[in-house]
Amino acid sequence: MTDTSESGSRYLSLALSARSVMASLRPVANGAPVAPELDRSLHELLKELQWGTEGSYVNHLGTSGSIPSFEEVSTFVDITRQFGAQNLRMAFETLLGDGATREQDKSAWQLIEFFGAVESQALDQYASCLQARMG
Amino acid sequence: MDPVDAVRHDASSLYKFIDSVILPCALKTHFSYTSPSLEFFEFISKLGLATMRHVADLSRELDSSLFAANPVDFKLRAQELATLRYSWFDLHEYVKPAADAHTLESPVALVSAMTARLRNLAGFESARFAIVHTSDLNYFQLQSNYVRQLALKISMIVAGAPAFPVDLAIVGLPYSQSRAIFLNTLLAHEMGHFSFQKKDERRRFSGPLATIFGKYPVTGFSNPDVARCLGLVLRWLEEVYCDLFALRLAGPAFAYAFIELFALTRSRPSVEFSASHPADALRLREQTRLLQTSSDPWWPSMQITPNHYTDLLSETLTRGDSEFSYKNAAGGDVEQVALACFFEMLDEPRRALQDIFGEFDPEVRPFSDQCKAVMDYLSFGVVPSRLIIDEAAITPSETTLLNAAYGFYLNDMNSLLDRLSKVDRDCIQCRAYWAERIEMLIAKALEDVTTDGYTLKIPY
Repeated sequence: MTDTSESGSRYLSLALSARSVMASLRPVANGAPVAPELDRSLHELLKELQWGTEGSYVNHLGTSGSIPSFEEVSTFVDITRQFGAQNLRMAFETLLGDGATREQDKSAWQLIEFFGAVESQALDQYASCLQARMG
Repeated sequence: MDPVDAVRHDASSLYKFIDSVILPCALKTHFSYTSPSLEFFEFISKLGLATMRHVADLSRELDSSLFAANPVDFKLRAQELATLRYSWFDLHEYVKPAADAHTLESPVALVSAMTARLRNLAGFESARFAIVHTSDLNYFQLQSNYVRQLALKISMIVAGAPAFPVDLAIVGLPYSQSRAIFLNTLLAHEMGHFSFQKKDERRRFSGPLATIFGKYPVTGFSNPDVARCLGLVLRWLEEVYCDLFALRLAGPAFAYAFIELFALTRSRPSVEFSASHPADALRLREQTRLLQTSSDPWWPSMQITPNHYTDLLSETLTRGDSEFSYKNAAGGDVEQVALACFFEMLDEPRRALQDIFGEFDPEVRPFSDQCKAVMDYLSFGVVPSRLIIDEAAITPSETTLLNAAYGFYLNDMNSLLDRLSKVDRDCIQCRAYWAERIEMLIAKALEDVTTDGYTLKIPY
């Protein structure tokens, strides 16, 4: 397998992760409370959104103990730009806060759309890698 | 087309596709398989059936009322069909190759021997390996851990999906080398990838790496640049870790196989790093460092059979860090910083492996004592499973057998050829024929020392 193949694998892995988060958010969008595991994942993602670039981001990576792949980071950066970092931050905070249920539902839908876009872009990238592999 | 009907079509197409992918796992053939391979087939079958049920359920949920109520949600949910299809594209690459790697087309004795050695290490007591074939001749391009990661992620979205069997790993070898012994020593590198994941070494390396990276003035780096830079370093470190793991597991035979695969005695080992691997010259240098400078080094024993491979290993030590570069000439700051961080982290893999294998290698002394005897046996065409040394009967270890045989193959084939009538030293066909016979003798010896009479100790 080639570098393209490995990159494709990482994009597919990202698409599956995004799909998994969407599946966890769906009950929340229909009024259920945020499950503890989803709560942890969303807090982690909110932290990622709060880091700017350079020093603070690197410090965060050092303390988190895991370094995300380029494929993951670049896709999140692209989609965050499309949705607006401020909008996303608000959606995350509303969902994780004690706000009104209706607002939480709305935020959950917004995040489902966000992760749907992440999945979609990751699938596109995977398909490009696949085509490159096939020549 | 009606969107609901379109989804039904796509769902049934995916259903049919998965059904055909898992078919080789269900077919009863006259071939026999090792138990890890059978376990892998069973897992794939169950995962396939669970995914097919999931696809059918999803298709039922994506009905006209959902489309009317929320077309955006309908579209987002239907996108899952693509994610699952691509996931099964990737799994597809492993199923038939695993079915092809039945026991007649696999180096079962070698894998069994290396597994036996691995299982003596704390934390690896139940490690086992299913073998897959590949058309790629380069062992180092396989993604050994990928199947497990992919299966794990699929199970997070497919209800009723089975968990990937704990401590089952997949190792791949070129189909043409299915019965070889010497080159397949490279499988020990694949076992290293399993260890890297099992021991969560990526996490271990991440903290110190972020600290080292933080010292570099990289004000122009975006977050994706940072991820790319650190990702390069981690991938290179993992490869060095796997090389050194293989040396600790299999001994210098791994370094010999590495040189043989890439014909490095006849072509200058590359000093250029790629996105996935460090330069060959660097990899050889690090292997030589371990062989020469560990607490109980192999190097003095390797001089029992000095050869042009050991000469090459020695030469690599003269290479300084500054001689290495990234292969893409246009590589910018990201690659430069990655290389600098990598060299600062280069002792970490060795330290991590010391935690697994311990400081001393218990295989060095027996090899040193028994190597000559194994070579003598081979020079007479005798299977060296049981040695008589100073009137005592000794059963050599798997590592001694493998390394002594590789040394014989590299350095002492003439002693065998000279005993044979009508065989000249310069007859390449004869040499190749008898080299293959040496591999068969050593495969038999490995089988003898890892099996208990007729029953395999390791469930293979």
